[in-house]
Amino acid sequence: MARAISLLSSKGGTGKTTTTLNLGMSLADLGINTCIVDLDPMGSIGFSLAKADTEWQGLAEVFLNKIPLEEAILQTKSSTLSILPRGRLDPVNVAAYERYLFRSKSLGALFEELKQKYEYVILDLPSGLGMIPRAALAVSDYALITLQAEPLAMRTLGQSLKVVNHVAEHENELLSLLGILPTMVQVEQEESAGILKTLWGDVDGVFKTYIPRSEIFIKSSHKGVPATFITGPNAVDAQRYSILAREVIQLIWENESPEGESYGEPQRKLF
Amino acid sequence: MVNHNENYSDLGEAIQLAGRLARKRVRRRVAEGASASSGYVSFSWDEDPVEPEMKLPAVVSAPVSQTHYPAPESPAPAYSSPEASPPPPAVTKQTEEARSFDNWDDFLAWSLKLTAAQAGFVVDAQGFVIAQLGQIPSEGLDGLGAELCFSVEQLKRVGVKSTKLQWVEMEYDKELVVAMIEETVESGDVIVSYYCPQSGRQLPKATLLKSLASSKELLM
Repeated sequence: MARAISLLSSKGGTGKTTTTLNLGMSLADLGINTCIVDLDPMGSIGFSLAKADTEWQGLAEVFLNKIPLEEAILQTKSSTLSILPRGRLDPVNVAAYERYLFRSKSLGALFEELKQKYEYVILDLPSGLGMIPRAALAVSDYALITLQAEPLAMRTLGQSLKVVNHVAEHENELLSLLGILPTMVQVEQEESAGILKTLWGDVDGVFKTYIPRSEIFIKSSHKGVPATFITGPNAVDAQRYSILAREVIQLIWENESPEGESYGEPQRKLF
Repeated sequence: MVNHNENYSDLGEAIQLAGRLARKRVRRRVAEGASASSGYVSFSWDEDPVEPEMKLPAVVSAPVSQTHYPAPESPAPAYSSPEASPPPPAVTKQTEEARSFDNWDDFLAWSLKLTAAQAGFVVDAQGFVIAQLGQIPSEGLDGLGAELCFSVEQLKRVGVKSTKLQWVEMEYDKELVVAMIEETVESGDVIVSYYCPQSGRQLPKATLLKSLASSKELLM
C-alpha cells in the first residue's frame, strides 16, 4: 500500500510541478516505485516535460472511460517512475472537469487503485485552494505545501494551512501535514533569508531541506527533464531533491512507526 | 537590517495551524478487506456526474516495511587501516612536488604527511564520506559530510560572482578543520578536509590543489 502525497499552494508559481517531478524522480532513484499524477487541468507535468498539450492520453480519458488506467500510465525510462498525465483535456472544459472531480468520488477510487501498484503517489495540484485541491486532499494521506520564500507567498501560508486543517478535521481524518517546503530561497537576499529564518524559527512542520532559486531548475524546466538530467546526479542543487526525498521518507516513517522506533538509512559501503 | 520577525498578516494563525497539524499524529492501520472500487463514473462534461456507490478510502497504508526503511546497520567500515595511518611529520614539506593519484587512500596518505594533519577525509557531492584516513574523531563522521556540502554551498553564495571557493578553514576551540574544494563537471564538488594542527595558511595549498586536480581518476 502506498501513500498519496498532495502538493499544494494557494499561490501560483511556487514550484509545485518542479517539486513533484524532481521529488518523484528522487524517490524513484532510491528504488521506490513512484507514480506522478498530474491533477492540474493546465497539464503542468506534461508542459514541464515539453510535451504538446494533446500528445498524451491520461486522467481525462480514464474518467471518461475511454481507456483503462493501465493504458494511461506512462512508464518512464526509470523502471520505478511512472507518470499519469492529465490527458487531452479541452481547455474549454476545465471548469466542468474541476466540478466533476470535486463532486464525484472517482478520485478516491483511482487513488486506491494506484496505491495497489505504487509505493508513493505524488499529486501535482493546480495552484489555489479550489475544487481540485480540496478533492485531492480529501483522499490523500499527506499534504506538502510549497512555499516560495518571498513576502507575498508567506502571507498566503495561513490559507493553505487552514484548508489542510479543515479537510483533516472534517473530511479526511487520515490526512497529515507532511511539511512546508521553502522554495526559490535566495539566502543572499535579505527578505528571502529572513522568511526562511522565520519559518524555521517560528513555524512547526517546516522541512529541513529547502530548495534554492537555481538556474538548474529553470534549465530543467526549459528542457523538460528532471534537474538531475541537466547536471548529473551529483550537482549540489539537484541533490536538494534527493535529500528532500530522504527527509520525506523519514517523516513518513516517524509518523507511521510505533513510538520509540528509530529511523535509519542503510549505511553506504565502499566494499 | 530587516526585522526577521516582522508581522506577516496571518503568520500568527499560520503558526497556530502548523503547530496543530504538526502535532497530529496519524495512526495508520493495516488495510483489512479494503478494496478499490472498480470502474469509473460515466463522465459527461455537461451533466452532474452519476455518483457511484464509492466510499472515501476508509483505510490506507500499511505500516512501513522494514524492507524500505531498514534499521541502521553497524557503523560504516573504516576505510583506513591502522598501518595506513601515517605518523604526523614534524615538519611540513612545503617544497613537495605535485603528484597525481589513482586512489583516495594514497592521496590521503601523501597529503596527511604533507600537511601534518592528524586525519583527513573526502566528501563527494552527495555528502557521503567516501574515504578517510588517520585519527578520525571517536564520534565518527556520520552526517558531517552532508553538513559540509551544505556549508560549502552556502559559502559559495557569499563570494563575489566569478570567484571560486577553494579553501575553507574552520577553527573550533579544540581543533582546526581545513577543507579543500575541487569542482568537477561530472561529479560536482569534491571536498577534501583535514584535521590540522596548523593554520590553513601554512599549508602547501597550491601543491594540494594541483595534485587533486591532476588526479583525474579520483574526480570521475
